[in-house]
Amino acid sequence: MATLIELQNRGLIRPQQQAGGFVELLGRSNFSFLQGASHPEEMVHESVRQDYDGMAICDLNGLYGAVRGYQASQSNSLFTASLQAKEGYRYLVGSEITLLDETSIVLLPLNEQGYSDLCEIITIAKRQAAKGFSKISLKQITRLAEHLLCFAIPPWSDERFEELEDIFSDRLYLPVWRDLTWESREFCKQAFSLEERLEAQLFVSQRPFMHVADRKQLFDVMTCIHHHTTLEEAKDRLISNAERHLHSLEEISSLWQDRLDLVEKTVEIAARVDFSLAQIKYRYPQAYTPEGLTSGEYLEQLALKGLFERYDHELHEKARGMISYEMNLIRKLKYEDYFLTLLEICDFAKSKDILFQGRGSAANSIVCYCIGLTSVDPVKVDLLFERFISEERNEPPDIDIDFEHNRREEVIQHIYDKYDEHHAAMICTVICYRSKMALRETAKVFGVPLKTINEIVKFMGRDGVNRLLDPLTADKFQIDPNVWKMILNLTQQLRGYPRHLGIHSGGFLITQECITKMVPVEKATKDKRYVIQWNKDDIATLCLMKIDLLSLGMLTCLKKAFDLLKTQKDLPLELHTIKNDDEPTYDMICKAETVGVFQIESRAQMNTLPRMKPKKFYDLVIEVALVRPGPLQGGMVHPYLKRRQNNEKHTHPHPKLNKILEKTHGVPIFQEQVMKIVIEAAGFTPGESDELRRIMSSAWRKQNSMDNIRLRILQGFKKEGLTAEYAEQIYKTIEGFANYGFPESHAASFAILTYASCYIKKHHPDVFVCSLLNSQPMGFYSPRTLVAEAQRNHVQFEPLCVQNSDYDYTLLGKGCETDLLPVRVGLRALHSIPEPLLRRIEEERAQSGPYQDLKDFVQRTKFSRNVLMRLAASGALTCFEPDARKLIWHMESLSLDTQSFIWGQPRHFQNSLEGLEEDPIPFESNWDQMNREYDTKSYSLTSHPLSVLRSYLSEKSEQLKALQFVPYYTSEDLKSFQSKKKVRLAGLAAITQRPPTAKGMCFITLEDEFGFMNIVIHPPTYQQYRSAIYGKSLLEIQGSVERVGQIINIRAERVLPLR
Amino acid sequence: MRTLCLNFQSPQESSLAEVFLVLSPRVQYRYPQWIFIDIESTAHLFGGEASCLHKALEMAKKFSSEPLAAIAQTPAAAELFAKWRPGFMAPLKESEGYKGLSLDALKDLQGLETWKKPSTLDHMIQVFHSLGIHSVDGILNFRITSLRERWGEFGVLLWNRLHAQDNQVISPLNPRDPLVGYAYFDDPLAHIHLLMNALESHLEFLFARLLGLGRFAQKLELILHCEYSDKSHFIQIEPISPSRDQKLFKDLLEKKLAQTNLENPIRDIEITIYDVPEKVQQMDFFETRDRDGDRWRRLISFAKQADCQMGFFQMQASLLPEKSFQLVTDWPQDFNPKDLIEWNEEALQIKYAHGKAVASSPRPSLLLGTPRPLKPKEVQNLKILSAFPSERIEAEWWKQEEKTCQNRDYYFALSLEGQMLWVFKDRLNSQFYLHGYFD
Repeated sequence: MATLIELQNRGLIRPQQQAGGFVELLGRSNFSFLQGASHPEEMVHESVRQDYDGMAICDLNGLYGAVRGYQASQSNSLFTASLQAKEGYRYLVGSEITLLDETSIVLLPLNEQGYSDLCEIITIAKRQAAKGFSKISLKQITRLAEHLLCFAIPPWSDERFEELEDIFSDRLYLPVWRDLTWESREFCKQAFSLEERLEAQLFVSQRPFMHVADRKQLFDVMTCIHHHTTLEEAKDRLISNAERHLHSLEEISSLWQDRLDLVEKTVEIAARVDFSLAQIKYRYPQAYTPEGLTSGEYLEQLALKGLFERYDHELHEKARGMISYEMNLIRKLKYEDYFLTLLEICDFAKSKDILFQGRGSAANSIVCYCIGLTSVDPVKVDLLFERFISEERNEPPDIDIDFEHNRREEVIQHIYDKYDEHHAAMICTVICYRSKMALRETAKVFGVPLKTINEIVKFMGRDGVNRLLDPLTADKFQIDPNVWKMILNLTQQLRGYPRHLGIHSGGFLITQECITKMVPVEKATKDKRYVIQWNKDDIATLCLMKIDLLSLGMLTCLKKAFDLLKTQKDLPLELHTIKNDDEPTYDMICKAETVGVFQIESRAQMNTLPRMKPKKFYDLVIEVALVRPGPLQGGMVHPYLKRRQNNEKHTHPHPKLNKILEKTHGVPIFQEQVMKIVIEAAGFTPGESDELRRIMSSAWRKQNSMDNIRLRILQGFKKEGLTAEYAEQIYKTIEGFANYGFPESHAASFAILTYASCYIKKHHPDVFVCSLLNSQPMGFYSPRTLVAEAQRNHVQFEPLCVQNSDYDYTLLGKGCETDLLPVRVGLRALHSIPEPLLRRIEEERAQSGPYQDLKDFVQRTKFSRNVLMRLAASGALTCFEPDARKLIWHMESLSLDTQSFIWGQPRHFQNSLEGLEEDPIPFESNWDQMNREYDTKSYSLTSHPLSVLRSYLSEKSEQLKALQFVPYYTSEDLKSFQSKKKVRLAGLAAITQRPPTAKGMCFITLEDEFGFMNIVIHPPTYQQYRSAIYGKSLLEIQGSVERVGQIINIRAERVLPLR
Repeated sequence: MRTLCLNFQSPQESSLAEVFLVLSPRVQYRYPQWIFIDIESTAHLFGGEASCLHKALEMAKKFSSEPLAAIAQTPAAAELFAKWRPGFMAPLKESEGYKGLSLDALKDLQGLETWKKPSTLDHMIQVFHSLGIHSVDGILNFRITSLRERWGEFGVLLWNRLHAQDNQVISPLNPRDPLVGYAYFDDPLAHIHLLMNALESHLEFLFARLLGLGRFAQKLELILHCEYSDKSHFIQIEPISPSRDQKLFKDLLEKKLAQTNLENPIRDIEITIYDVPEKVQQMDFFETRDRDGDRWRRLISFAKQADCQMGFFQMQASLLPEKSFQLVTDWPQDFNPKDLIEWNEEALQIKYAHGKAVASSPRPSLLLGTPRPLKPKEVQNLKILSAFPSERIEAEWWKQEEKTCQNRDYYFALSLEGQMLWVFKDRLNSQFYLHGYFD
């Protein structure tokens, strides 16, 4: 028997004709959230590879993936396979809209107006439904249908067709496809009948859910996730076969040999469309300018005014030249309004006394510095303006502004008030599947019991899927090895697929025209917040200008510190008026006494400080950028430190790189340096280098691109005579920079805050700890550690007391610059009582004077028994009764029913605290008291847990010594010990870290009453003592001393809970 | 009142209390796992409290793997000890037993009446903790007035229970539960010895209840429900005279089960004992009337004897044609045959509504349950009618063990005799299969 194809191949029947062209008009990507199995880029690239004349991406109820597809269609990235699109290749955008009656239609804009209408339709649909859903009727679409093509998705009926034809007339088409299923045959029959009877216009599609057939398994898994079912139970919810992918033109022609006209019709339809995303016209909202001045003139005027305030006379000439150069470029690229809008926002913050600071590449600009957006002086730090704005790069400037973290909301609200929801919306972030979630969902689909899944996810820990690659894992969890293989494979495929939309932390898009004409807007989880369907990369691709309003805890802390200095010490200080290059401050930094300060307080940073020995501002800039995943992964940290200490020869790998690396001893540390290296040594163009930066930071990194990049770097370096080893190192640094890279300007902006916080800590530790505690939660350390550190720096603390404490920590009295004022613990230390209740204590006291007695306090504050108990347990009521236990027992007997005439008094016989003597209340030891205070405010002023335990530990040490075992040592003892000495330590775990870059190492900062101890735990020890490390805070460490210069680490051999 | 409390540590049926009627007529069950026995006046019959406790535990071990028990002056204290200090027999000095007991134990100081306000008790425990009191004995010396001042009646109740002054009376048990057992098997059983094993625990329980009640089994009925269909087996055992001989019933049951076909495994069982005092009672000779459902079952049975499967055709979702339906042999509930058929002058016809889908289907009405592989010669004699397959089915790719026939291309084909056939080609090995005939 022979099929027709075989006959045709043998030349026994007429050869087939091929269609003149084809455009896939119903493309769908994984931005249809679980209903598409390929990235938009993959769909576009595949259509190019198959020689189509175009491709439309029409995701479900949104334009989420539209820009990614557009970018892929624009230029074939040098990092992807070398594909060349057919001349006249069309990339179209549209969306498949689900209607109220659960049918759907695909809408494709004919022109710019059509696109605006489509955005409007999607926005309406999203606003009418709950987050993540869409709800719209055909009637609502009617008024916006004039500039839209409509493809009605089957099933159809005569009535339905006529209804749509009334709305769309000749813009209505019916797609037909042959995917070798019973249903598609039925739909084709229906369509041909409509064509014959009602002159319906048909076209051929493949209704593709994936770009290649191989994605069928993934698509099935996604279908199951979508329907919350398993593969076994999904039955006919799964697609019958893998035909819903992009076929070659030959295959399409052969399948539609009887109706090639319908294949060619797609090209005709695509030709009707006169719209591309490039046509989106974006105008920045017009900013305020005084009469008679253009925005450019006004901006220059403001910059020059700032110049006189900020620069000494001798620098005027240079700075003026730089301003004029920058202004020319700003005028040319018409960015004046952007700067002025930002300035307006910052002026608002200033008027509300909110501290802010620009960061990122904006710090390279002198205009930004002079108008007060940033605090880094580009003249001093010598930063390149082109990194900020460049004509060649044709990218909008990116100014990120940090505000005080607890007041940023006020700024956001101001923007909504000023521009309203039709002109301002936040930028989205696409939340993608990560390893654990991907594995969880995939395993569920395969019917793995939930209990086992939880065990697997727990087992993955922070190592992700890599930990599961061991072939014995399947046995461990009693899963069939074949099933396990499929689960792992599909988990890896699912990773990086979009899952849902989140909201960017502070990215805003502000427009002059209505924003919904440019991009669909949908509801965010937070009430009255709206978010656009594109993320920051999409915004950058379309050259739209966004502003980033970020928040930074340290700004809050500094603002509070400046206020305290002014009010309590009469010392007006500002970020830019802090004394430069203060020697005592740098001495403190060199000794790594940096608990609580900005950026250099982490364990890794503190370890490098004694080796780095920063002596000037630029050293801090390097320090901030140095201990980051980029340089760490690239192995740049140690070479840099060695060269800085003159322990290693200062060499440049190539003369071309001398200039790039001269500032950093020949070691690449900043993102710009790495980008410049690939330009100079690997022959990348500046555009390519920038694309590289963006590819690396995008969540979806195509393995293919990455291999190509690696190859190009290696080849390029080889050509220039650089070693393969160096090339690999640079590649690893690029990888490390992907998410956490610091450009120089950004590091400089941060270094300012680092220096300021260090300066205040050194000279005003009382002010520093007070403002830091008032800005919690922030930073690495808990209030307990911060208080203990301040106490070691001789700061006095006054206990919590309802008669004296305010909500915030306060400095007591007034003093001069050199005085150390005592700090009164604030009521905010009581983390278990809500803020409004705590504020009530302060307000009531301010309003009606001090509390007379407990009864008065109870009656005036009207607190519930629970709150009173917590206050008593924290020691805040000791002004009424010094014995907290008696107080608690007494309070339990009080009548707290506000209706009762004995409210606030004992319910029965007792009238005072004296009657309590008869009940057997146990005596409270120091340890009990400390525990009580720890339970309510997580720290105790009077005693450190270790100082309470010390006598017990000393006793135990004696016993250990008698048995010739290693006794307990303190952090103070460690200072005199040499390497390899065996030690036993007891302490509280202040911080436990296991950074991804540390190859499985774990670091604990252990704290006792004298200071900190650095514990290093190697992977085998970590695995063995994991439960103790995370389960207990009081730990006993047995190990040996590792001493390098001033740095003392303890290599742990055993980690045990302190018994 | 000396009270023995049994803590079974896992939920039990209330009828379990009947088993312990042999120790005292005053027995009370409390949900989910507690049995209280008033042994004040009966303990001496068993040789004192210690042997009574021992005997109760022996009996309880038949129904729970790790039962615990304790004796105290009040049911509340007995419960507390049965959980926290099992085996404890406080000779009027419960305070000894409270030493070092965590305050959480107060939650079990309940007896026949549970704490009405568990949140108040939690609060009390929290207050005592904040006073530095962490064990029950720490609160024994607080005055009743102090507790009343703070927690009113609740405080008084706690004080009373702690000091064995709470009056809870166990009244004589009046058995009401029928003697039935039920079990559902997560893994259905197809072997007699496994089934007997499962049955044994139920028999044990029912016969222990009979003993406690002082009654005899006249008849035992066992219904076994099958896993893959709604079929069930019905077994009845009725010895000549009522008996409490568990072994006799077990042997008889085993013999009957040996004659039962368990190819269709058993999913759940129901077991009922009809009990009598020693005297035999009148039996009921009435039988059920003959109904449609019964007739239908008989028909199915005839068909089965003729090696023919018969049943209702029920659609089910599947991508594979042969799995898209199933035969249901049971008579559907609320089913009216007149909905399905129409009478036309003595002739009977299936209504059109039910035949329409079959007529317009591109799939054949005659489908082979298992596709038949075609020999190369047979394939050569076929005329395939289209270049492209009419359907392509790629199903169940995750089932590695069923490699064959997961990827199929279906074609319409004409046989030499002109019969329209439905064949498919396995895309993995190019083997052709016959899967159906068109009318």
